[in-house]
Formats: sequence, C-alpha cells, structure tokens
Amino acid sequence: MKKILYALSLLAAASLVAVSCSLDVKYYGNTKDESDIEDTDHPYSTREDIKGQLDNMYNEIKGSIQESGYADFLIYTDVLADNAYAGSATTPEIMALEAHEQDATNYNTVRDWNFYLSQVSNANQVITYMDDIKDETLTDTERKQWVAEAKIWRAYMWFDFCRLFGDIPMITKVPPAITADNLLETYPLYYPSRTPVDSVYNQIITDLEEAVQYAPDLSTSDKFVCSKALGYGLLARVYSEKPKQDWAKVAEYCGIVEKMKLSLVNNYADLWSWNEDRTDVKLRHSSESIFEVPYTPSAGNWVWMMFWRQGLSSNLDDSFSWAKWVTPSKNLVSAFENEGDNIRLEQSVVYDQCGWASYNMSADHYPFMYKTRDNAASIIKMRLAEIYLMHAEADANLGNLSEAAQYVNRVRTRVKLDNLPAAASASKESMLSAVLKERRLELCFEGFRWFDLIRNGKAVECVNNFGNKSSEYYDPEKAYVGNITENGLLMPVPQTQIENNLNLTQNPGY
Amino acid sequence: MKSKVLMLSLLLMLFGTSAFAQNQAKINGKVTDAGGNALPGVVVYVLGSDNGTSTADDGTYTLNVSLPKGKVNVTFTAIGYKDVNITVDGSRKLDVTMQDDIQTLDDVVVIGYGTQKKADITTSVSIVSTKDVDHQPVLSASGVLQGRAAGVQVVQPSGMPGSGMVVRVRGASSISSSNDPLYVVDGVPVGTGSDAISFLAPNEIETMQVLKDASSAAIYGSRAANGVVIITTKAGSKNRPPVISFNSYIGISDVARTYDVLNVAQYKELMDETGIITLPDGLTDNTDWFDETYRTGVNQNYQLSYSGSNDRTNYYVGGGWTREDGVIKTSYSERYNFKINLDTQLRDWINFSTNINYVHTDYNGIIEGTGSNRAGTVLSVINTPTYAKEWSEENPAWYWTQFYGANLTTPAENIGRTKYNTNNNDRIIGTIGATVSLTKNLSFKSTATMDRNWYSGTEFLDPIATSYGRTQHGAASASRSDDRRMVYDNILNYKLDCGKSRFDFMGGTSATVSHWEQLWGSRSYFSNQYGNADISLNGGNNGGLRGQGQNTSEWTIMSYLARLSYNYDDRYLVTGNFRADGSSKLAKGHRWGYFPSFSGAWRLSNEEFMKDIDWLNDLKVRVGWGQTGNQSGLDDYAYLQKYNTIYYDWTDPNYAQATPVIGDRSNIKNDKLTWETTTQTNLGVDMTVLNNKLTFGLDLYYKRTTNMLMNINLPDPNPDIQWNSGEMTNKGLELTVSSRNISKKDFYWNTDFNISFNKNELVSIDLQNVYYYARTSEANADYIIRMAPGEPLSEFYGYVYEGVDPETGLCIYKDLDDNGVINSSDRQYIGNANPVFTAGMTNTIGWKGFTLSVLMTGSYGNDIYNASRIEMEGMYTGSNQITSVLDRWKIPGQITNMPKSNELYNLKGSSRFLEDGSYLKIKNINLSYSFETKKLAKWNISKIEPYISLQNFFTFTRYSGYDPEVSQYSSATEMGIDWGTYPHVKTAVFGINIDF
Repeated sequence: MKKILYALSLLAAASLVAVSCSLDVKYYGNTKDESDIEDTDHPYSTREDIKGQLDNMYNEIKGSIQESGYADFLIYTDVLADNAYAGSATTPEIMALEAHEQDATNYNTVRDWNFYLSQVSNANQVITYMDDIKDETLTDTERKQWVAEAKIWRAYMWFDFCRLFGDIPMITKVPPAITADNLLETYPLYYPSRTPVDSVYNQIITDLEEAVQYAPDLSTSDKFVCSKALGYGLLARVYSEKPKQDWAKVAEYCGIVEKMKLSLVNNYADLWSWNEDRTDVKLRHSSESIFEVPYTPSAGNWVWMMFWRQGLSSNLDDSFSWAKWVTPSKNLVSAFENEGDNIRLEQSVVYDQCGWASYNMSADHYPFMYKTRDNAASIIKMRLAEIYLMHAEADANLGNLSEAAQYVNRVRTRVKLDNLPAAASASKESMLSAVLKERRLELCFEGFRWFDLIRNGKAVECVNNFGNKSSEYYDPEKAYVGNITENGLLMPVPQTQIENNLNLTQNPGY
Repeated sequence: MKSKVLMLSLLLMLFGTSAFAQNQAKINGKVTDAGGNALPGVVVYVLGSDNGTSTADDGTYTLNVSLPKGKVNVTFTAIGYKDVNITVDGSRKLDVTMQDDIQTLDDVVVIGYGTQKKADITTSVSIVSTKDVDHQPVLSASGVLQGRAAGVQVVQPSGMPGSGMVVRVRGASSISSSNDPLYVVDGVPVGTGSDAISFLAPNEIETMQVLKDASSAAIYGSRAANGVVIITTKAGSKNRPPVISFNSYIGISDVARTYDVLNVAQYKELMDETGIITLPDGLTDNTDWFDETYRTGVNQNYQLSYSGSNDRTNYYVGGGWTREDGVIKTSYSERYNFKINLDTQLRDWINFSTNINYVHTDYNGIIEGTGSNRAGTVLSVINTPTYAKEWSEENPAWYWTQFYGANLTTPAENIGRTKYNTNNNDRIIGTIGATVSLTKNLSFKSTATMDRNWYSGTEFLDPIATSYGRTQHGAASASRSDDRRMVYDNILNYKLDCGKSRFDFMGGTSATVSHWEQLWGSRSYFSNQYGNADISLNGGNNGGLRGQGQNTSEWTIMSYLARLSYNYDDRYLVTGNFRADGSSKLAKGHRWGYFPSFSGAWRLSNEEFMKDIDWLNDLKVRVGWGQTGNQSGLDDYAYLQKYNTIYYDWTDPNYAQATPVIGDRSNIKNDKLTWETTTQTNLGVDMTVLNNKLTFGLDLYYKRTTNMLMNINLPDPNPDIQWNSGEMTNKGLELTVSSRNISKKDFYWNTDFNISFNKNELVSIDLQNVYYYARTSEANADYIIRMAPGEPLSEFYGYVYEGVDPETGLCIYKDLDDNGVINSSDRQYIGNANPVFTAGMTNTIGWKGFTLSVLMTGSYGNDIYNASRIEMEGMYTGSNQITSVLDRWKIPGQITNMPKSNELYNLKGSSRFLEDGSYLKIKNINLSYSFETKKLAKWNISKIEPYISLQNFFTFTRYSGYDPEVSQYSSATEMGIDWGTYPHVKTAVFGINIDF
C-alpha cells in the first residue's frame, strides 16, 4: 500500500509540472509573423500585394463615395447654396446644414471628415509601400503609373477636404507601428496637427504635376481610372480656387483635357436616363465622362434611395416611404424656367406623388433630385461640360470674352438653348455671371454650386439674401435662414476629433 | 456463474465488508428546539433505508432499527432546522435538540480551490442565502444574487425573457474589459457575464458565495478583478434520505405600466400645427397599440430530481423545463436542463467525482433599444398613430403602410421583422475529478473539464409582409458557432496540526485551452409569392458577394497557484495567496502576470480578556490586500499586427480569376500589451451578539485599477490600438445585518439587511483624453455620456435645461460660456448613473407551516437618461406622442413645461430628459405553506410546499418611465439609459415543491 502511495505522490508531483499547456496559439488570419525575417514592418512584398492596395483604393471609392462623397457632398454643394432643400425634416444633421446652423457635433461633418482621411489613407497604402516591393515582375512603368493613380486620388480628396474644412491634417504616408519605445517619434504621425491650406495646395499641385506624367491615358471604355485627364482636370480645378488662383493655368489645363478623346454626349438626357427596356442605364463611361464611379443593376449603388425611387425596379415603391434628401428648390426651378431650359430641368428635377410634403409644396406634385434615378447610375465626378465651363470661366477672367462665350455656347447648344446674348459678352462681370448661371443649370446636383459661389465671392451674399424678395437668391422656403459671415463658409472640425487629438484646432465661429 | 462468484469474492476482499449478523435495537427520545420546545413532525429515519418515523405532538418518538454492521446512522430532519445525524450502536434513549437552519460560524464555505470554516475566513466573502431561490420566478441563476449580498449590485436591465443580469461586485473596475464577476460552478470557471451560468436552473443551486475582495479572489488571478461568484450545486447527501423532488411553478406576467397616447383627433391637431405631414380628414381611432402589442406573459417551470446516497456513492440526478413567454408577442425564452452529480469514494484513499450538465436554451426577442424610425418595437407602440391598423387595406398581405409621409412602421410589423428568428444554445459541461488521499493530511485532486457551447441561430426577413423585407426582397441568415474549452486542474492540499497552530497549504496548476469556431451564411432575394417561401437560406436566390464566412480563434491560459493559511488558536488567522497566469493573448516576454494577496484576521472574542462578555458571541477584525488582473478585454490575438483581407467582386468579369490579397492594418499592434491590474485593500469587522441573534458585517474597501486596458481611438483614419494606461478607483463601504428578531415555537421572524456604498472615479487616462458614449436619438447628434479623468464612468453630459420660454415656447438652455449662442460648448455634466448606495432587505416570517418572505431592493442617488421621452414627447417627427404634449406651448405668454412643437434644433441632449432613478422596490413577496410531515409520511411524502410568489409588484420611485431598474446597455461606461428598452413586468406565480 505504501508503495502505491509513493508512486501516486510522484505521479501527482509530475503532473503538476507536466500539465502545462503551450501559450503559442494559431492565428487564423492575416498577420505579419514575428518570425518573418525581413527588413520591413509590413507584409507587402509581391506585385500582387501592392496591386491589391491599388485595387482596394478603387473598391473603397466605389463603396464609400456614395455616402460622404455624394449624398453628403450634395448637401454641402447644393443645400448650403440655393439649389436645394435638405428634404428630410426629421434628419437633424442635414436640417442644421440647410439652416447654416451646423455645429461641431454635426454627424455629417464627423463622418465626412473621416471619409477624406480614410480615402487618403487608402492611397497612402500604395504610395508608402511601393518602394519596398522588390518583386521583379513589377515593372517600372507599373510602379510609376500606380503611384500616379494613388497620388491623383489623394490630391482630389485633399482638395475637397480643404474646400470643406480649411486647414486639414495632411497625412502623406502610413505611420509606422507604435511600440512603447517609439511612441514619442510616432506621436505626431498619429496625432497630426492641421496643415495650412496653402501648403496642402502646394502638395496637391506638386503631386498632380508629377502624376500626370505617369498616369494612364484616358480610356474610352473605362472612366473609373485616375487617368491623366482626371489629373489635368483637377489641376484646372485647383488653380481656379482662391488659394492658388491662376486663370492662365486653368485655361491651359482645360485645353489639354479638351484635346483628349472626349466629346459631349449629343443628348443631355442620355447622361442620366435608362435604356429602352429600362433594364440598365443608357450610357456608362460615356464619351463625355472623365471620371465616374460605375454601378450595375446587379452590383448597384444604394444611394438612389436617398433621392427618389429605384427606377429600374419592378417595385417602384421600394424604400419610397420616407422623405428624400436634396429636394430641388423653388429658386432653382425658376432659374430653369426663366431660361426656358426645359431639357435640363426635366433631367434634374422629377415631380412625383409622395406620402409626405414639406416646404409648402403639394404631395401630389413634389420635386425630387433626378440625376441618380436608379441603382445602376454612375456617380459622375468630372465630365467634359464642366471642363468647358471652367475654361469659359478662365477665359472670362482673362478677358477673352468671346472664347468664353464659345465654351458656354457649346454646352447651351446641346440643350437647344440659344447662344448667349451679346449682352453677356459686354463685360468680364457679365460674362462671369453668365458662366456662373450656366454652371448652375448644367451642373446642378453634381457637386459644384456652393464652391462656385464661394469662388465668385457670392456665397455669403446668397445665404444672407434668401429672405430678400428682390434678390436673385430669394427662396421663400429658405427665408428663415439666419445671416452668416465668412466663417460660415467652412465646416466645423468635429468636436470628437479635437478631443481625440489635442493638436487639432477649431475653425473660427464654431 | 463462476465469474460472478469470483467477482463477488473479489469485491468482498477489496471492500473488506463482512458481518452478516443482525442485531435489533430500539431507540426513543424527545426532539426539542433550541428553546426547549417540543418539536412535532420531525422525521426520524435510518440513513440509507426506508425505516423511519416522525415525532408526536409532544416531540417524542420511538424507532426500531436493525444493526447489520453493529451501528447505523439515524437522521433527524425538519424544515427550518438543521439536520441532525447520530450514530447508534444499540438501544438507547436519544434526546435531540435541533438548531435553526441559519448560517453559523461552523458552516463550511467554499472558497477558491478549497473550503474554509466561516469562522476562519479572513477575507471579504458574501454568503448568499439560497433558501427560497426555487420559489422565485427568475430564469437566470444570477437573479438569485439580487438584493442578497452587500457589495453586489445586480440590475435587471430589461424585461426581455432570458435577458441577463448586470452584476457588479464593488463597482466597475475596467473600461474596455468585462466588469462581470467570474462564475465558478462546482469548482469549474464557466465564464463571466450572466450568460455564463444561464445553464443552471436556480433550484439546482445549493450554495452561493461571492468573493469580493482581492485577497479572496486573487486565487483566480487574472480572471478575478471583478470578484468571483462560487456556486455549488446540489448533490446527494448521506445526511438525507433518498428523495425524489418535484418543483414547479406556473404564473403570469404583465407589463408594469402603460401610457396614454394621443387619439387621432389630437394627433391630427399636432400634425396640422407642425406641418411635418399632412393628414386627411376623417381618420378614426382604430387600434390601441398597447392592446395589440402586449399580452399576458406565461411563466412555467417543472423540475424533477432524485438524489441520495449509499455507502460509497452520493448521487443527484435532475432535469427540468422552464419557459417564459414575454409580454410582447413572439418574445420568449425556454430552457431544458439536465444534470448528474456523482461522487464515489471508490477506495478509502481515492474519491471520484463526476458532474455532467447538459442544457438547451432557445429564445427570441424583439427589436429594442432604438427609435420607432428604426423599427424599435417598444417605442413604436407609442409612436404609431391610432388610425393605423395591423394590415394594409390596399395590400392585405402587407402590414399597414399608410402613414402620410411619417417614417413609421407599426409594432405589428416591427415584431414581424424578427418573428421568424431562432436562437438555440446547447451547452455541455462535464467534469471528472479524482481526489487521492495520500496521507491523512495530504491529498491531491486532479480534474478535467470539458465545456462545450454550441450556438445556432437563424434569421428571416419576410419579403412580402414587411416593408424592409420588400426593399431587401427578403433576407435569411444562419450562423453556427462551437466553443470548445478544456480546463485541467491539479491541486495538492496539505494540512498540519501542531498544537495550537494549524497550517493549510494548497498548491497546484490550472490550464484552460479554448478553441472557437463560427460559420455563417446569408442570402437575399426570396420569392414574393406566398406558398413558395422557404424561410431558410435555401429560399434565397442571391448569396451575395461574401455571403458566407468562417471565424476561428484560440486562446490559452496557464496558471500556477498556491495558498498558505495559518491559524493560531482560532485567534490569529493569516492567509497568503499567490497565482501566476500566462496568457496566449499577450506578446512573448509579457505573457506572465503575478497576483499575490495577503489577509489576516484577529478573533478578539476568543481572547481571554473578552471571554467574560456574555452578549458577544463572536468578534473578528479582518484586513486584506491583494492584486487581481483582468484579461477579458484583450482580443484573442491582441499583440499581433493583423491585416484586413482585400476581396474582389468575382461577379465582375475583370476579377473572375482574382484571389484575395492582404489589405491594410486592422489594428495597431502593441507588443508591450499586458493585463490591467486591480489592487484592493479591505478592512472588515464581523460581529455576532446576543446569543447569535444579531450578526453584523462591515467592510471598507479601496480598489485601484492601474495599467487599464484602453481601446484608444486613434485619430482617423487609423484603426484602434489596445493600450495600457490610466487609473481608476472604487471606494466603498458595505454593511450587512442579520437579525433573528423573533424565534419562538411556531413563530419566527428574521431580517437580513445589506447596504453598499461605492464611489467610482476615473483618475487618469493617456493618449485619448475624452470618450463619448450613447448617442440615443436621431433628433440630435449628441452623445449623452462623456468619460474623462476626474469623473466616474457613466456620467451624463449635456445642456442644462431651464424650462420653456413663455414668449417663444422654446426650451431655454443655460449659456454656460455666456457668448449668446447655445452650441456644443454649452454642455456640462448633468447627472450620474451610479447610485450613492444600493440596499436589499429580506424579511422572513414563519408561523406554523406558513413562511412569508419579502425581498426589498433599493437604489439611491442615480439618474436615468430617459431617451424614450425624446421620442414620446419630442414632437419633432410625424409620429404619435403621449398625452403630456397636450400641454405644449401654443401662444406667447403661456407658462408650461412642454415646449412648442416641431423645434428640431431646440431639442437637445439635455437635463430635460434626465430623471432621478432612485427607487425602492418590493422585488419579491413569497408566501409558502409547508404541510406537516407527519400526516404525509404514510403517503411516503416528506414535504408538500405550495407557494405564491409576486415578483416586481410594488415600486416606489419618481422615475416616469416603465421601471427605474433599467439600462439599455450593460457596459459600465454607458449605464442608466432608457431607450425603448423592453419594459419590466410584474409576475405572479403559483408553485409547489414536493419531496417523496
């Protein structure tokens, strides 16, 4: 018996030690294993890896642009201005923007701030890691071309980010891993302060001027590419804005784009409408389009439901039970009517019956934003008509009034409108005013109006005259909007971001 | 035959039993209680046989016994008294005094990896009375804790059937990690959070203890920062005859209150005034949505068990079925439970124990915790206008859709959204343990536990009847997960008695290995023809791009632990614990954490100089210090740098051949990541006076959590990082008083009272300075909780409401920065969800066979942010409102507290919706009657005990919502928010316990 006990004691003592389990467990996902011996701190090493980052940048554009880059963007460009009402009386964020009463907790501005940073970060994945890829199947042309695409997109995002928020945290590469040891060095990379607009514009211009050399040429069949045309078009846009305004450069860059394989679509309606069977859109990657984010009936956008109906559906009542965003304003509709511009009015605004009505309009005849009318509609971010009108604006500013009129008339002719009257060419001011109006009618609900007004120094005047019956900006449904100052032209930096990152400052007035 | 004989002789040899001689003996005597009163109806029986009798009215009895082995055990048992067990070896007179069945200092208390006499405890342990837990209609075993243990705050956050309890032991010690205690059932850690013990039927619980301070809990090391709840389940006992028990209750429940909503005329008037929607004339009141949505819930419980023991084996086998049908249609929870506890002293030196639990639960809920615009069912009962009906008139297969532009769906439709959903959980916990007695004082116990948890759930969104389903063309999803856990414990115990000194040593190892897998899939585009609706995945045509997926995850903890207790003459007691934990979740080189603790006690009452104080039965002073850890908030692979995966849309011809590639970082790795550590100091006094009639327990504690595990939201666009930083403290006081007010023959009255004060403060945090939580309304973007250093968790932050301006009808908010505008810088702390104190009191009164037990619970000083009111009286959308809005401001000069309608920007996250959440509740009233055992004995029934139990019947509060005991979220960082939360119910049950 005693022997057994001793044996058991030994067994017990042994098992105390032996029953210990390994603390190394398997991870079922992507990681960079510590045992990988390489001199980089990231897992990208092959051509496929870096191509993946570029593909991901485009995929993320397709996914995320609908909310922040389109639905929210139109709130800024068209609802802050005189083109539209917010539409949904029970959505406080957009109602606050309509009223120009947004504050630093406004949820739209919070998510859009994040959108720009995320888009930049996606581009930075390509830009930061390209040099570390030693894979020989990756050609030099590809290297330069892919970085150029990423830089063009990053520049585009920085540009809009600045126009909305002013100085921005400009992050040019992916920050390295944080360790307890390098926290002090990495801290400013993770907690960046705001870079002044002027420096951001300099960076944008440097990047774009470099990128247009290597970016792919404009394809005629795929406009969802950050091509040379988009690069030059963006340069034109950047030089038209106040911080770096240079109208000669705008004209020059517009000219370069115009020489590419682009032409206005004959029928303005074709840009927006569906095919005869109403199974898909009529045109995708049209001859006029420079940059568009395409969707198909099977891999559709969802953003249609923010504006009107899913026009391709057999069930037109899908999601048509709640108030829509970006309701065309009375002022805009009169602007079309005063111009006799029925073609563009009909493609921009649709009247329908709905279960709700606001803005003192009838539920039986209620206007909706019509430029995204189904789930297969592309989001067109740049097209030739805009380049023409930008060129016109540049020429007008440069005093080339007849050239300016020519560009405007190209756009007017397509929609069966007479050429500009001679009075328009009478002075720089009258021409600028004609261009501004033409841009409004041609490009409404495409993300331009508010910035057009700011660029022409008319944004504050516009808002402060909503209630002035003798003003061109008068709109009875916006008459309630209080006066703003120049401070109101920029959006507030989200309060949560400031509290997260003490290096951020708030814009004046918030 | 031959082999049988051989086997028998072998067995005889092994067990050494012999002696077939039969002796007869006669024993008789009188049974009295502690006061000397005769006790009638006491069952007297020979253990392990069916030979028994019961005492007469004068307490006397006579029992003839046979003595096959020369002696037998005779047991005396009666309800309300402790069993008495006496060995008899011949005829004799045997008078017995029975003691009241209350906790005494000689009772054994289960502590981690061992037991201790209550008198010897040096730490802070709450012993929870489990006396009448089987009389209460609580589905969850954690409900048993409510109001019964000082320092343990238990909140039932919602009335949803099967919803868990939020249990906090001495406040919240963590921000990102769990704040729930660790549950240990029959020696096996089964997890944290009340789901961890949802497999237990409350009536299976024999004892329940809460280890509250670090010096007691530290033996569970990195899993014990929030205390440990130790549960022992029922087992067969040598001290009781074999018994078949049947417990059952059946009851009904109803929603605790309703609201008056606007009728259609009042609603139309409001809508005409706001202009938000335009309603036609001639609408009539058609539906009372309260009647349509709420029903009388049904509670049922049936439990059957048999237990007993023979020479070497104790057994308990039980099983049952419990079902609660909620007061809102389609919500229910049900449980099938089955359990075997088996304990065999196979040899004198080895004991085997086996516990097997199998439990199946299934349940369904509703959409709650959101506004009616997002299909929140509870609020839609109020927000749906009364003209609407259940079914659409134009499309009879559709729920009602005509709201004239208001973004509404009816409660019927919101329930319909989830009514096909199923949730099933199956869990098996099986433990086999062997205890080897190596010498008289040295034993070794080895156990292996398999804990396996399967979940399967399905969802189906009706493609025809629901408007969301029509948009999605129906959708189905299914998911399965399998959680497989093994726990291996090896514990050595050594006792040493040398005169007045007694040593107890425990040392061992514990290893836990976990492997978790999940598989899920989803499809959409279902047929919109009825009769063709296969409501599983199979019915959908579109499997989506990534319509199926798999997740796998593993973790391991390895621990070494030791405890040394020293007792000198029952006067000086010292205990030291040590545990080392290694976790796979941390980076190499940072995996091990060390958790020491020390405690000591001085039993003054055993000192010579105190011996003469008659009224003092026991006085003990305790002091303890210890460290515990918390690792539950660590991701399974927290230290690794992980990357997203980039997938391609293979339906796009460009990508038909694509393979996935590595995407960007999904976290920011932290290779110095480690546990958070809670250091706790405890000071306690236990005192028993007046002939054990009055017992006091007082504890003071100071808990300090350092190296807090924080999820730092790095500024966009970076992913989060897990980072150790900052400090949080909890200070508190707990008082327990137990009093046996009256204890006479046929009448007794006991009172147990406890009160707990806790003060929480976040002292510091790094990198990110402020956190916001709880965005509770779409009327504004305000987060209503702000967490920052110097403040407690769950503190409300917002505008200061100062009433309605009689001139404009707008809410006036305090302009804190005096700049003339009200904007986001005019917010301040406006309230606090943490109570100053919580208290519980149980009064038990017995008279003859009747027992009345009343449990009261209370909370004082906490605020509730009633976000539901924003939706019920905010008047900012086209939804219906409650009748309080009839007082709304209409003309200048009007003095009212209800502002003008349709003022969206004026509707802010403010103190307007903040309410005092203090309450006193009569949580449970329980009346039972125990039939006299004597009369039942001839039917072989030892107990019949019918009872009625009223749960949650009376609440005294100023809170205007359904119930002040509410919290939409269970995280310690966002407590105290009522936002369309499933309302609490009143329950009345009738039940019966029968023992055969």
